Amino acid sequence: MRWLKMRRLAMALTAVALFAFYAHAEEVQTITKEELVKLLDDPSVVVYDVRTGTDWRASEFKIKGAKRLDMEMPDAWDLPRDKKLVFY
Amino acid sequence: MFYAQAVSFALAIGLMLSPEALILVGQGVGHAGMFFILAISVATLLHASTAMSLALASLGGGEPRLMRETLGAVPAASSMLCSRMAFAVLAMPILLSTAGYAFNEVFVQTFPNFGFAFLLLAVVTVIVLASPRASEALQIASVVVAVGGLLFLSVMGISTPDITAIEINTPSLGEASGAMASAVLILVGYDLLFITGRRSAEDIRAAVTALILAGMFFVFWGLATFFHVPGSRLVESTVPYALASRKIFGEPGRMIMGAVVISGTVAAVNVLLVAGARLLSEMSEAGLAPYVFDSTSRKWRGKLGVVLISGLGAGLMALGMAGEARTLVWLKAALMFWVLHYALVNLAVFLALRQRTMGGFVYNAAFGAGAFGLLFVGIIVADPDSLALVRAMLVLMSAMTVLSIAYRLYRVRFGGGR
Repeated sequence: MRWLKMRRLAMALTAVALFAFYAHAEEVQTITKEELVKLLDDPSVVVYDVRTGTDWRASEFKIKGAKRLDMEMPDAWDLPRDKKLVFY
Repeated sequence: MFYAQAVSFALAIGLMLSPEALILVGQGVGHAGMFFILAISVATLLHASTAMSLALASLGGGEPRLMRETLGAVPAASSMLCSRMAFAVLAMPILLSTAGYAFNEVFVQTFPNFGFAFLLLAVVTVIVLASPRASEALQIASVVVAVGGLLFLSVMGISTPDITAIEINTPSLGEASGAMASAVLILVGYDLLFITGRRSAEDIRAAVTALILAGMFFVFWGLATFFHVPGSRLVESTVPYALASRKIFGEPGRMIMGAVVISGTVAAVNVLLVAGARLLSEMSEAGLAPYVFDSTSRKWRGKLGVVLISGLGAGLMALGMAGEARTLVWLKAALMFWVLHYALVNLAVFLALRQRTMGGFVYNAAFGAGAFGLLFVGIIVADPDSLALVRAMLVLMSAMTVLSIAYRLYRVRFGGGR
């Protein structure tokens, strides 16, 4: 009986966590590659290519002018607050 | 007879045709130019001398048995697990995802790259499990495509040099030592032939032939790259082979290189699965691994090793390890242990033969042990991120040593378990 209660509680917590994650994810806007192409020459836009490992290395396609961030050291990131940031 | 020699050759050259080797060639040419071509020639000779010791170890009752008798059970098992076995597992996500990107970006953009990587692994695993004959045919076919494509692009590149792209510069000491290190690393893997159950004088010849021909192919491809892409651009690129193939032959060149990358990956994955399972079986025979992997008593047990390596590789991919920068460090750590393993096999052969009247082989083994021991230290010191590399090596070594000791204690306590 106690185990059943614990399981219900765990399920409820998972549902809340998933909802919170989804709601949070909604705040981040996404753009298409066609929209990004139009923004590439805009000086108020900074593009960051955050791919790592083989995702970065094996791909032939790199975004022109994109900066890279060390995903292992997020504390060292110095992101400009006055610009529109695009992460890939 | 010809078919058997072709299989031996294809198994020996398989790993050397992986896209990782092509990256090292491109970046080596970028850093050191023509010096890298010279470094490949020296590295080929160095590996060829060690191939003799590896062949002797293989003929004399198997490498695991010889290493256990001369160096002890725990060092022997740890060395084999840290080098080839760890490499076989860690290389899977990196090689397969590279092939996935090549397929997605060169051939079918609507097909997901990781979907292709999983599909390729599944197909190769099923073929290896289904029939050794089919696995051999796959190995020959993939090597023919990879070598054919690479040679075609090399001939095209060498015969039509772009004078404006050639950058001649003298490499610094650091660049020269880095080039030498890369040249040694691109030729690692020919010894997988000796642990695929193929042991004869012809196989030794096939391994040395594969080594020398691979060295020549890399020299040709290095020259073609040198004649078409400036060194500064090669150094910046993460896929120098794609850059060079496009410069040499345009879009068709890029497609040929895409086929080379995919077939080179198939050749590498196939030989890693076959040799990895066989190594587990030999270790089991020598009392260095659990008996469930020993395929001499029951053939199906050999398949357990294939399932284990393939499953671990697939698991790493599913966990997203291909996209992690540290996976590359781990792979390099395993590769460094492979270089150390060459030194240890030479040492084992030296210790086994020094009492006998086999002077030439003894001197060769002593030279190989010293040369690869020095290279092991030199490559680590020359590595730009040597601290991370040493850390990964220590973790890998600790894990494998604990595993080896645990199994040793289990055997002492409960016997062989057969």
